[in-house]
Amino acid sequence: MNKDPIISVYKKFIYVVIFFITAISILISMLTLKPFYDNLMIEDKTKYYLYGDTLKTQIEDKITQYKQIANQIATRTRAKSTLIEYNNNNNTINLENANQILLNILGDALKDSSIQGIQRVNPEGKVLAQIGIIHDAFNLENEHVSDVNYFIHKESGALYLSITTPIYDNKKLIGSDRVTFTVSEIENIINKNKIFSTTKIQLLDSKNNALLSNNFNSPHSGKSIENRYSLVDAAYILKCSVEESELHQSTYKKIKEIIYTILILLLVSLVGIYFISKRLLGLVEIKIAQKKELQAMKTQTAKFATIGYILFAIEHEWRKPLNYLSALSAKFQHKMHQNAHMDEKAFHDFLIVVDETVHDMSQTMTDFKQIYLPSYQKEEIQMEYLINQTVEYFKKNKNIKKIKIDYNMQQDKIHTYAYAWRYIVLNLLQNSYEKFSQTKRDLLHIRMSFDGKIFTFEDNAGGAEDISKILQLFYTTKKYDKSGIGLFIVKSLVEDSLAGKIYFSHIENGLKVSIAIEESVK
Amino acid sequence: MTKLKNFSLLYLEDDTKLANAMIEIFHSFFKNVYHTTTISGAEEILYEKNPEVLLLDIEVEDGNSLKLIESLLANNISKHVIVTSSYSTQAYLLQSIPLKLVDYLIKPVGYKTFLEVLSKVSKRIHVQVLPNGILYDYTFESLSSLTDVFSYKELILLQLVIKYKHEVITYEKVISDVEFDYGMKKSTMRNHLSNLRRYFGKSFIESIHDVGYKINLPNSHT
Repeated sequence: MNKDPIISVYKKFIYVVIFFITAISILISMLTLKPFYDNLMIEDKTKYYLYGDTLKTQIEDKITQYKQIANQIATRTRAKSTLIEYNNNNNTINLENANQILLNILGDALKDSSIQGIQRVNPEGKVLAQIGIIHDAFNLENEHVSDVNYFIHKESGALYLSITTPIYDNKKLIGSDRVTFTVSEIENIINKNKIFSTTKIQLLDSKNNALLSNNFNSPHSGKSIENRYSLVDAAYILKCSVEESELHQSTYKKIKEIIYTILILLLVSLVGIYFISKRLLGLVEIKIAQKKELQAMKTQTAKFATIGYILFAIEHEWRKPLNYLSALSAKFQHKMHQNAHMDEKAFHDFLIVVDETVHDMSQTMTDFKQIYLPSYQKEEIQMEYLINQTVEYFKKNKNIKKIKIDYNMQQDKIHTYAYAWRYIVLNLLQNSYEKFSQTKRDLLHIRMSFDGKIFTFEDNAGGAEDISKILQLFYTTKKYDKSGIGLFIVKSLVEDSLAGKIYFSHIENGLKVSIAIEESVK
Repeated sequence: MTKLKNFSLLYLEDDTKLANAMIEIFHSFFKNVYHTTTISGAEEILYEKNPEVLLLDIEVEDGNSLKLIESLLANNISKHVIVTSSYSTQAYLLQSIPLKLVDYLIKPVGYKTFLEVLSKVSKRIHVQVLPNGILYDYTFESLSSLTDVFSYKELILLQLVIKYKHEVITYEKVISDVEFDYGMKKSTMRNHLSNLRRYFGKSFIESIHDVGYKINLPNSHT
C-alpha cells in the first residue's frame, strides 16, 4: 500500500502544506514581534540611572548636564558664570550638593529672568523632569504620572514641590498620587509616613543644611536605604525604574502573549492538519482499495466474458452439425414413417455419418477448451509455437487457398499467459477473415511479427469502419455473431493478463494492430 | 397432406449438407422441390416456377429473406411461407409479424415439427382444382397460373362462379357484382364467358336459360 504512487503524492502534498503553514506562521510572528524588538534595541540613556553601583558616574553626568543648563540660563539671563565656577572649586561634590547648588543657581538665575521653567527631556522628547516658575503653586494640572517637579515662586523665591508618585504593592504598580506642597507641608507629610515608602529623602537648603530629613524603613526590604539622594534624584530614580519596569514588563508581557498565541495557533493548526491529513490519507486509501477491487472485478469479468464467449463460439460452431444431425434424424424417421425399405448398407452409412458429425462436435469442444479456456498460471512458451498452434486451429474449416499467413517471431521463450495470446490472435484472425469475406477480395494476406516487446498484426481485409469504436463492448459489424464482445475481451486480456496496451491503426487496404507488452522476455 | 402433392416448394437454405438431407424428405410431400442457396436464386425460381409454398432460411449469404417476403407482399404476390432461423432475435420476430407467415421455426427443426408445419400448410391451403390442373386458391383468391390470360373482370367473374359453385347465379347478381355496364351487359358478359370457356372447356360454365349460370367442377378438390 505504501508503494502506491498516489499515496506518496498525497503525503508529499500534505508535508508541503504543513511546511507552508509553519513558514507563514513564523513569518507572521516575526512581523508582529518586530516593533517590540526594535523598541528593546533603542538605546535609552535614562535607564543608566537605574543602577546604584554606577551612581558615581551618574552624578558626574548629572552635574555636567546641570552645568550646561546653568550655562544656558546664565547666558540667557546674563548671570555671572562665577557661580558655576564656585561649584567647580568645591571638591566635595556629591549628588545632594550638586543638586542644591543647581537649585541655588537656578533660583538666582530665574528670579529676574523671563524664563518660566526648564525641562529635562529624553531623546524621544518625553519630559523627564522640569523646573518651572509658577505664580500659583496650587493650581497644577496635566502633570505626568510619576513625575517630580520643583517650583520656585517668582516673587517670594519660595520652593514648592510637586510629586506624582507611584504606589507599589509587593512590587506591583497599583496606582499613583500627586500632591503639591510647600517645604513645611512636605515636612509634615513625610513625618506622617504618607508619601514614600521605600526611599530616604533629604532636602538641603542654600547653606547646605538639611531642610528636612527623615529615615524610613522600607516595609519590604526591612532595612533603611543608606544612599542619600536629593528629592529630584529620588523621584527621578523612582520614575525611571517605573518607566523601565513598565516598559519592560509591558513589552515582555506583550511578546510573551504574542509568542504564546502564535504557539497555540501553530499547535492547533498542526493538530488540525494532522487530523485532516489522516482523514485524507484514509480517503485515498479507501479510494485505492476500491480501485483495486474494481480492477479485480474487471479481470474477473473479462474471464467470465471469455467463458461466455466460448459458449457463444461453441454454440456457433455446433449449430451446423446440430442442424445436420437433426436433418439426418428427420430423414431416417421419414423413411421409417413411409415404411420404405432400407438396406443394411444405407443404415450403416447413416450411422457412420452420425458418428462423424458427433466426433466433429466433440473435437470442436476440445479445441475450444484448449484454445480459449482461461488458465490461471503463466507458462514458458515460444511465441512461434503459440502462433503456429493458433493459426493451425484457425485454418480448420476455412478456405485455405484464400488465406496466406506469414509470421516472424522472436525465438526466445516468454513467460506469459498462453491462453490470452491464443485468444487474442485467434480473435484478430477471425475478425480479419470475417471482414475479408464481406469485401470479397481474392487473397487474405496476414502478417504477424513479435520482437520481444511489440506484437504486430497486419491484414489487407479493408480495415475497420471506426477505429475508436472497435474496443467498445457490444460494438459489432458482424452479420451472424452479434455478441460484440470479442475485441472487448481482447482489450481486457491485453491490459489485465499481459499488462500491455493495444493500438489500432489503418494501413493500406487494412488494419494494423500493435500490442505492446512490458516485461515478459527472459 | 396429400393435397401438397399438387404444389411446388421453394427451399432456400445455404447449408447444402443439411439441405440435401431435407430435400429427400420434401420430395415425398411436394410435386416439385426447388432448392437454392441464395436470395437471387430464390427470386429467379419464384419468377420462373411460381411455387406455392416457400421454406426460407432467414440468414443466407447474400441477404435476409424476410426482405424478400416483404417485397413479395408489396407486389401482391401471396404465398404460404415458412421461415427457419438459428436466431430468435426480437428484431426478426417483430419484422415477421406482418408477413403472415405459416410458421417461424427455430433450427434445428425436428421431423415432427416439419410434419406439423406441413399439415398446417395443407390445412391453410384451400383450393379449387379447375380443369387443366389449374388451381384456384381461396385463401389468396388467386389462380396458380394463367393469371395473364384473363382480364380483371374475367377473373372476378371466375371467382364469383367458383364462390357460388353449388348454386345458380342470376344475371342480376353477376351484373351487380362484376359491375358490367347496363347498356351492353349481355354481349360483354358473353364475351368474358366465352373467353373463360375457351380455357376451361365448354361445359365448365353452364348457361341456364333465362336464369343465369352454374359452374361444373371436376370431382377432385378439397
